[in-house]
Parts: sequence; C-alpha cells; structure tokens
Amino acid sequence: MMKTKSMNSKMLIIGCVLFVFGLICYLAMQVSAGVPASTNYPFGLYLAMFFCFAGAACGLAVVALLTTFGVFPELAGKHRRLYAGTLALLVTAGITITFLDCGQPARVPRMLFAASGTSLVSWDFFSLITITILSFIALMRKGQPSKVLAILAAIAATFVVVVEALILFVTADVDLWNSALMVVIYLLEAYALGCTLALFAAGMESRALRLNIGGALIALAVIQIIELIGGIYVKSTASALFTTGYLAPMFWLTVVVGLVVPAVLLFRQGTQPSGVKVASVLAILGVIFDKLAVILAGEAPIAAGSILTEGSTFIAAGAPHTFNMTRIAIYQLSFMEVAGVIGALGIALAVFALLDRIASNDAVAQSNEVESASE
Amino acid sequence: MTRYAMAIKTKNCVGCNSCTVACKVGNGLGPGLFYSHVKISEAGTYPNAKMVVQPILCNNCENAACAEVCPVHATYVRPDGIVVIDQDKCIGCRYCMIACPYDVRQFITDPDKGYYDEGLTAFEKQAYGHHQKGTVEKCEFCVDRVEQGKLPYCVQICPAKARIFGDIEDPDSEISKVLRENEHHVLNEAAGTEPCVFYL
Repeated sequence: MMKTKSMNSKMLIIGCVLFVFGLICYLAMQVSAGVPASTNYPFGLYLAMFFCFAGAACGLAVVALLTTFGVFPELAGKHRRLYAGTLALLVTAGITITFLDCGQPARVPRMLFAASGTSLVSWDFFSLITITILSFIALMRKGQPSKVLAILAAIAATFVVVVEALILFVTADVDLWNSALMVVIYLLEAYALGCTLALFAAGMESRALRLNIGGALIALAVIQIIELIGGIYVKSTASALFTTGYLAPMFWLTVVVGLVVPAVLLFRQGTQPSGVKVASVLAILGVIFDKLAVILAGEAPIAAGSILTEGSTFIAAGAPHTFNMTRIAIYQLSFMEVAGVIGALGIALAVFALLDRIASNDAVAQSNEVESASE
Repeated sequence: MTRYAMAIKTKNCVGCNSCTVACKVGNGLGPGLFYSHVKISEAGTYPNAKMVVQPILCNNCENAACAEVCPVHATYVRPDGIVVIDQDKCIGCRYCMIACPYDVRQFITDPDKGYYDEGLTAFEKQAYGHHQKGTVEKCEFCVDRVEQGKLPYCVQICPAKARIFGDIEDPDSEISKVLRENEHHVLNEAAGTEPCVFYL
C-alpha cells in the first residue's frame, strides 16, 4: 500500500513537471507563431497522440468489461483503477485535441449547442463526452463493478474508436485513409494499447493479457503489410512512401521493432518480467508510430498541394482533368508539437495519479469498513 | 434560383498569375496565403511535350465536402451556391482542409505577418484586418463584390478573358452559353462533390 502511494506521488510530481513544461511552451507558441503544433502538415504527431490517448482509454474500458466477466483474473478488484486510467486518458485526449489541434480552442464549447449532425467530429465529441461520463460513474461507484455500466462504457468506447477511424476514412480520395481496413486497424490499436496499459496495472503478470496484446500486434502487422501490397498494386502514393519514400524507415522499423518483436516477446513463455516491460513499451511506441505513419502517408500529397510560395513556379505532374498531386511534402516535426505532446503526457500522468488516489482511498476505507463490520 | 459558377478557358490562360495577384491584393492575403493560384504542369513527352496551365481555386461545390464535415456549421452553402465560411464560428479544427478534394483551403496562422521585416505597411494594416488567427479561409467567389453586382477580382483582372463567371441557372447568361457550346470537365469528378468551376 505504501509502495503504491509513493509511486502515485512520484507519478503526480512527474506529471505536473511535464505539464508545466508543455504549458510554458504552448504559451510561448501562442505569443510567437500562434499555430497549434506548427508544421507544414495540418496533422502530425499530436493527432497520432490524440488518437492514441482516446484509443487507449477505450481499450481500457473494454479490458475493464472483460475483467468484470472474469477474462483477466489478475485484474480482479482493479476495475476502478482501469476506469481511473480511462478517465485520465480521455481528459488528456480532450485537452490535446482542443489546444493542439483547434485554432480557436475557446470556441470548442460551441459544439455543445451548435453541433452539425453530418460531421463525424461532432459524433466524436459527443461520444467522447458519453464515455467520459460513464467512466466517471464507474470510477466513483464503490463496491462490486456494475456489469451494465461496464457494458455501456465498452459500447461507447467501441463507438468512439469506430468514429475516429471513420473521420479519416470518409475524407475524399486520400490514399490509405480510404481503406476499408481503417476501422479494423483503429480497433486493434485501441485494444492493444488498452491491454498494454492494463498489463502494467496487473504487474506484468497476466498471461492472457500478453497473448491478447501479441495477437493484436501481429494482426496489425499483417494488415499493414496487406495494405502495403494492395497499395503497391494500385500504385498509391502511400505505398510508395512506405517502400521507397521518406516514411519507409519509420514504417519498417515500426512493423518490425514496434509490432513483431514485442509480439514475439509477449508470446514467449520464458520472457522475464523485465523483457515483458520492454515489450510493452515497444508495443506502445509501435502503435503510436503506426498511427503516425498512416496519418502522414495520407496527408503527404495534400500537404504538398497546400504549400504555395510567392515567386516560385508551381509545377505538378498529372493530366489537367485529374487532380493527381505527385509532389510530396516532408513532415517536419516541430519542437512545439513535441512540447505539447510532453505536456499532454504530463496531464495524463497527473490526472491518473489523482484519480487513482481517490479510487485507492475509497478501496482502503471500504476494506476498513468490512473489517470493522466483521469484528 | 441563382447558382453561381465559373468557367475557365484553359486554352486562353497564359499563366500570367494576374488572377493570383488580384485575388491576393483584393482579399488582403498575406505571405503564403492564396485563395487562387495557377498550376503549371507538363504533359506528354519530348518531342510532344507541352506545358499545361490550370488555374486552381475553390470549386464552391454543390455537395461541398467541407460544409458536410464542419462540426459547427461554420462552412455552409448559400442559396446561390457559393460556399462561405463564417469566421466567427470557425473553431479551426481544419477537418475541412483534409476533406476538401482540391486542397484549396488555407489556415490562418499569423494574420499580422507582412511581406517586409520592418512591419506591416499601411496597406497591409488595412487589408489584413479581417483575418482571424486560427481559422480557415478560402475563395468565396468574392461574395461581397458579387452581391454588389461586380465580378470576382480574378475574373475582372484576367487579360486573356479566360474566366467567365455567372449564373448557370440562367440559360441566357454567358457562362451557360459557353458551357452549352463547349466541352468541359470538372476537377476530381470521382469525389462526387459536384464542383461549380468548369474547365473548357
């Protein structure tokens, strides 16, 4: 108990430090450039992280449901901790997308009263709010976990992930994003992230979780290869970027080191706990970079079309009746974007530490009540 | 019912970029901002290679993907077909930029940035005032001018008379006649957005 409290305090301090660092950089960015996450691409690392925060939160909600039904016995009694993680990640996702993505964050609450039903962003907004409320109720609810609540939270979580996959899927004529497998990729990524975080909660000692993560990672690797082969067949820009383009090193490193290697380590029975930890960290990084690769590959031609400068002759190949942009923009990761993501990670740690403390205190008080009643 | 559209005679276009400049000056667009530009591409191979000039601007689509994805109704299609953005409503999420199949939307990062290191000129101070940082903008067929019965800047300035603007619902309008009498195409028809910029 003491050890958990000390860990919790450390997490809170680290989270606050990271958050303050991110906040200072964000404020400096607002004063100078004024662009949230200034790069030559509209979306970059911060968006991949938003999807990962939201996905991981949803994955945890699904793991909490499975735990309620006894699939992961090592997590029994820790469901409130899982919901604390879900809630912390949802809060972080919300803050990330509002402050790093939106040019006018103060206007985001407008969506509560003037949302458009045809926009998937609105659906995402309201489904995120729904799962946040459900997770909060599940976290605050003392005693045995409610199966109904767990089911509702898991349904809302799945809906969030599907909507977020469709946000990219419905964009007109974008390589890779228009893939029918986008929803499957997002679901697998969310589940892998949720299981990996739950594995940390279980002290790295759940064989079932390890197999689930490994399975999800292998499935992701296979799908990405299938996508690549399909892309090569239709000569898509994304596949060219992954095979010979500037994203190729990142893509292959992600598939091998971020997906296949951790899967093998997690499948192996003899892997030491330290090896499981390394595999888990690699799995999280693998999913983050997998998301980033998909986002960047889809955007590359779009970003190239958006870059126009005075005095330059804008030459692009392609027949005039098509709109085939063959120029590719290189993604430039900005310091501010990294700082924003670090700040967001700080928020996730700090909020989780606070919520976990509430859940733990309630659990202690509850066990004390049970003990005194039995006496 | 009025439905505004533009026809561009690509064979007339000489790629002088007068439209680009007129649009920038008229709409007060700072460095790096373009509502309209001219794409110059090469077609064919030597000895039959040729240079193709293609003006690009917002297609003010009938089924505007940007309006559909906007989460707060900031982008909408007017009854006369012009797709406009309410800057006061835009939250700057940039989803419309990604949804647009023509890459013609611009994100305003720094409206106070001018062309000179010494700061904004008197013209720039006046011209850039209406832009809002962190919002998205695009060509709106110079809607303010159209409401006054004037032509968009790019149409008025074109020295080769390559651009024709008008109401395609009016069978007697110049644009209707030109479209009736000439073969034409739209960009990225497969996107299903029903663009209102036609290339002859």
